[in-house]
Amino acid sequence: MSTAERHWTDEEIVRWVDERNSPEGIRVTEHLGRCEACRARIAAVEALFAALGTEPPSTTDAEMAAQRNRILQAVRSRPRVPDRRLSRRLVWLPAIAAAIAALLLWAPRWTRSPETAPSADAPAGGSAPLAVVVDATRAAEEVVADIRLPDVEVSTLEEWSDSAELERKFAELPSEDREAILTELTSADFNPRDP
Amino acid sequence: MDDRDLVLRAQEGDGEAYGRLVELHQPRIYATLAKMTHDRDLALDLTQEAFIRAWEELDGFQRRSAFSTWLYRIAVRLAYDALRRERQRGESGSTDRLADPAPRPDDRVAAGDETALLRQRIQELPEMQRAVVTLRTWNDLSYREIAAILGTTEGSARVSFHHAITRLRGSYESEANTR
Repeated sequence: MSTAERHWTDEEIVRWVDERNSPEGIRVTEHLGRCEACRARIAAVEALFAALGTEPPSTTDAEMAAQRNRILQAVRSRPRVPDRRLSRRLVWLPAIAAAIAALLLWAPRWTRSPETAPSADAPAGGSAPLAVVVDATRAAEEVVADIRLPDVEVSTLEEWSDSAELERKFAELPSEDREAILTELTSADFNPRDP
Repeated sequence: MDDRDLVLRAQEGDGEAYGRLVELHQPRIYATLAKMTHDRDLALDLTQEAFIRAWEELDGFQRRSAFSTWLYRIAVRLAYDALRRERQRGESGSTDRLADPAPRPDDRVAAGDETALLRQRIQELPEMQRAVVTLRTWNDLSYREIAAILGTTEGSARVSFHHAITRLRGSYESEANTR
């Protein structure tokens, strides 16, 4: 039996009814025109879909209006929970900057390819402290932008422009936090030497 | 004013804007929960809880997805929790309304009620499959939207749906043929 003549699989039947699509496209569709058994199987699945799509138990407009009132009453008496994710990220920000500095101090020697041309405003290799600070600040800005912390000012980052301080902060973090930060940073798609 | 504007205003503390969001989304959220739980009163309770929780957590909504997607996510998680409680009560032999919705599905099946039979089969599905079936067949959402709501991938949502349909179809047809 050719591919066009074989019966549809169960998966093809469901996919056809669900998305009017089949993995083998028109060849399988041609079979449908000739195969009463497959058409019956499709009709059964279509009936199942129709049954699944029936309306749920209804409510009255009055019930819905009463519920809206209850919701709004409850809302008035309940304070909103501050965005803990934002607070958490703000706490991490110094650590992120510190980790970037640490990476820039050590990582260039491991990972930077020799054919990468150094930029005009920074020495090659990333070993000069001043360049490290400039790179760390710039990279931290990119990380901040990437994780969407609109409330953080660049001046805040500049306060951390002492690489020794950054390294110290990073070293003080629990080891699992350092690992998490490094994982995040090394997975981030940024190159601090790019403008 | 669209959802985005209403959400912005609600995040600034505008209760009227939030009231409008409730009005816009309440029918779909209720219907989704009613389809998932098959319990009208429970669905009403969960709808109310979903909107109150959404208000409480509104500052954490960063508008990366549609408000409706975020709201569905809260509602579906509440439904999961309720269904888990229902199952635990059923296992412990409790006789409250969640464990013993009347009339029992088997009674209605005996009376030839195919809708009840299907409902019973749906209730036997794993939570994820039950949610996917509801969101796909009743809410008519794309797999991309479903994946965002359920925190999974499009492929996984599609596979879950196909498994659920295959399972429902098998039990639905075999039971129907024996009658």
